[in-house]
Amino acid sequence: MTAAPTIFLPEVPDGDDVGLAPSISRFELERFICGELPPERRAVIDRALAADPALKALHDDVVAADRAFLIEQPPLPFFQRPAKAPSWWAGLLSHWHAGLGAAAAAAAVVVVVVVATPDESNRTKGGVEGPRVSFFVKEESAARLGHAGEELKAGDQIQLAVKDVDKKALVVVGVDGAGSVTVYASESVQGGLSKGAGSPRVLPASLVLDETTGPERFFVVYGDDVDTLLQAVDSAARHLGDDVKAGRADLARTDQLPLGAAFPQSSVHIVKIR
Amino acid sequence: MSISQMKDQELLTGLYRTHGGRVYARCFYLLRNKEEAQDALHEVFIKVHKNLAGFRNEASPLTWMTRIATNHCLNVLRAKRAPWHEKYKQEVDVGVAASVAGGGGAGFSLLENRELLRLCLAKVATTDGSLAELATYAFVDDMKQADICVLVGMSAPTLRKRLREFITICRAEIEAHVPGVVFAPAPI
Repeated sequence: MTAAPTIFLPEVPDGDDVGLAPSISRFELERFICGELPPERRAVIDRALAADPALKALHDDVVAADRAFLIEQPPLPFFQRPAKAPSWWAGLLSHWHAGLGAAAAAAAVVVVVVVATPDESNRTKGGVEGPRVSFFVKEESAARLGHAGEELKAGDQIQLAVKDVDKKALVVVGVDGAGSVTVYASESVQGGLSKGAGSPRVLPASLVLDETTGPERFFVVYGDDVDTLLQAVDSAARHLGDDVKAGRADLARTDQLPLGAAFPQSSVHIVKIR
Repeated sequence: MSISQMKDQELLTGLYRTHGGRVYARCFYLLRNKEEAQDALHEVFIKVHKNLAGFRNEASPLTWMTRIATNHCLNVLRAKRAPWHEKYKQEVDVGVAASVAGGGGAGFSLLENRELLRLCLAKVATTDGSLAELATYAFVDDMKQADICVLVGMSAPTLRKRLREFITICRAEIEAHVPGVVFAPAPI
């Protein structure tokens, strides 16, 4: 017969309590891991981690859990295109809401493919050393490399992949057949590129096509400062959008934004069909 | 998308990378369901997005986001009520039995048996969400009393009184599930 357990209940001291190590609570440890603590407090916790194996083990567990979380559930965009300019990207937010797990699974598949598949950018400025962009199309249980000008249907899911250049910032912008411009990503890539330049990488967001039809071209542009780059790309894309709307430009052929050599760029386009 | 929105997105994405794992861990701990925890994570970030202006002055985003996540998940638990609790009780019974079989007969701490602690939190969440919130900070996060007081705007004596209420409810809840259980103060 099993003896009834003895359970030790917590006490609530009249003074303030102490945490896992002298004056370090679990929550403070988590704030430490999130990078929220001031330097002087970080130094205290660094010393405690070196001296307390239990605290160090908990620290390592939390760090490992956070890493696993980001691999399993990578960040996706939180915004969608305004209602006045509906787009096939509009499914993105609902995708985020309803299908985080599915998106993570899809991303995992794509990552495997991008490593194993040669880059197929349809547009490169600056020769073989320039940036390249391509895309992958998710299928039932895998992902395949898409091709420039490919016709895709509503509900199809794609993910962009880029081969970076040694710049500090990246912007992804789309121009569609109606001349609408959408900025899809803007990121500081300083540090990441020093290691990853020249190697393909998949951008985190996967995209679900909606019902709108016609061409859309995605431009990936690099620069040295996110704000400056974003303003330059936004302006150039709107200029192209106006030309498209007025019939002066064809997205199947216009594969560059009107930007100078200081902004290396690459683009790829698709055609959305019913 | 405007440039200001883009900056918001960068901020949100940065927060997700640095704090998303902690927020998700809180949601998963309280809800014990991956899909529900993912939904809860999403809801937390929606709330963060809506309150970004206020957030920019926060000294501790983790504290702020943990509070949003905790309250959201406790509300989810409260909404589930009886059906969830019955299922949960079965899980905890197994957890207690496993603790006993694993040497728990010599005694174990409620704070170390996080399954059992969660049962107590869930029980309290159905009747007193604010108490469940306080207990989560004190016993799950191991926050200091002073920090909890600042976070929820409560005096230290009131906080201590509330936490002792929680322990009393825990005790009754465990006695209902584990006949013959013996309680003791946590050893120093």
